[in-house]
Amino acid sequence: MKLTGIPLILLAAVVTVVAGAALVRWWSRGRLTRVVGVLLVETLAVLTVGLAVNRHEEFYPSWQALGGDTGTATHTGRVRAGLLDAHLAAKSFTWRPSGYPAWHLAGPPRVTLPADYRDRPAVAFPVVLCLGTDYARTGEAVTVTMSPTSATTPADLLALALELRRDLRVTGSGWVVPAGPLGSSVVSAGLGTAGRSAADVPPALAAPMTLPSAGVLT
Amino acid sequence: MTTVLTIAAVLITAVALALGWDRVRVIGRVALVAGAVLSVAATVGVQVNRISGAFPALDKSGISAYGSEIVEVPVSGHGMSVPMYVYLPAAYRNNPAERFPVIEALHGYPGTPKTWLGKLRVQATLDGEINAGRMAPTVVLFPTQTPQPMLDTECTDLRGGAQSETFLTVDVPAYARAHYRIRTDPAAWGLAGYSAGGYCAANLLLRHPGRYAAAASLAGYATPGIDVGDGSQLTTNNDVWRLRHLPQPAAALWVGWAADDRGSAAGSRHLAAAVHAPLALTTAMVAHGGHSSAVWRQMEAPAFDWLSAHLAGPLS
Repeated sequence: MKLTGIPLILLAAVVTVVAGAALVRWWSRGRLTRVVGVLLVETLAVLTVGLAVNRHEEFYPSWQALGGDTGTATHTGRVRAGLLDAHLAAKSFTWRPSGYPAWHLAGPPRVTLPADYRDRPAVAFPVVLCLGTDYARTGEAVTVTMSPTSATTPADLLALALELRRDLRVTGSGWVVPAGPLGSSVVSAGLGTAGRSAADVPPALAAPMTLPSAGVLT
Repeated sequence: MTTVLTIAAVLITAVALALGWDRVRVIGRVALVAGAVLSVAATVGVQVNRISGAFPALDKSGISAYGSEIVEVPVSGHGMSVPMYVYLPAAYRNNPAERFPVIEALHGYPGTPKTWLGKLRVQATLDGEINAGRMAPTVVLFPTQTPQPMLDTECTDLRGGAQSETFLTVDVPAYARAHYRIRTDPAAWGLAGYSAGGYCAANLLLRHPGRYAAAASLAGYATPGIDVGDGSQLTTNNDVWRLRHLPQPAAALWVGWAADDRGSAAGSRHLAAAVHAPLALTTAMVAHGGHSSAVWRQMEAPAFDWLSAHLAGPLS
């Protein structure tokens, strides 16, 4: 019988009324009968009202819900290691991934790692994408400095971002992306926000606890 | 304690009714029945209050095993003068040179910030997530959203009434800036909320993207469900209307719901389906559990982890 169904509420109401009638009918049979009867009718009345309120407000739509069971497990993920993690010797290096020639850059990007990148294998680091030649180390972030040309497109920058996610242990959000049209695809992909300063990057964190996504919504 | 007292009252009035019935006249019998009914009503009230955390008794604030602290402070402004609870992570005391990111966590209706601290065990959740490195040390504010417990403001500025929106977006941040070592830039400010507070979090993010960078709505709604007084519940305080008719901010939104929580699931789905770039969306769904604290407790850690990953970190 459904917790929020009319049949259960009717059943509770009928039982309450029957118990009330029985209490009146056998009121003179003794003190103990009276006490037990009064308590029983009170309990049944409260139960009936409770069921009706729950049906109306939909607090607990099912017996499972009433028991506190969500039928869902929270997932604790693990940070995926970057393909280059085992080969990194220097804190700063010239990055020549396989896709690089297709990005129409003036030269290969320069990557600068946080000082503790190799010491913290369980955390993913945020990314600062810089245009130009300034590749100063920025705290907890992986900094990628590149020189685009007039042929570089937003799609090229997104391809670079996705390649970076394979090669290094970086986050999937909170990146600092250069302002302007070139960063638009990276922002649209949900990787970061344009025009923030390097001080705005989120911290390097262990893999978050997650719940299942709702999937495609229409 | 009140539970024991009220149950004792129910037993006493039931015995009095049974034994005293034959010894008194009509007025006495009416009094006996009234006593029984009142004691039952009081018991139900106490238990409902215990479950919903609507008017919880004040308990002791203190330092947790992880070294975090919950403090109660009075906050005033724009006609409101209400208590706020503040979570200070262990790092707040240990790293005196650091300034911390901030999350404003909003409660449901009816409810108070104490629901977060009691029923939702937020201090243990925050301690656990920060200690595991899944969340940065963060100062979390639990403001009261309404000047009167039974007034449903939905964190809006009611025309001719409570100015909850201004209080939460101006007075609360001003108090935090004046009293705590926090980051004041919007990139380090986020919102969270459950039930009505989930609507509040999403709505305040959409309305004030210059003050907050991200929000998490736990079993929230897309509309306030009240009359704000200026019709804005249909437009600028209706999140689906906002998302469809106004430019979307460069911010991030986490929306979670239980599939069998019909009201919240429908509203959250509408809200999520209307989101597009540059507003970033993450959804989370639990299979069942209804509109209950079991669901919100399970959403807490994922939501706070996600928020921390979308807010600027502590700064020395």
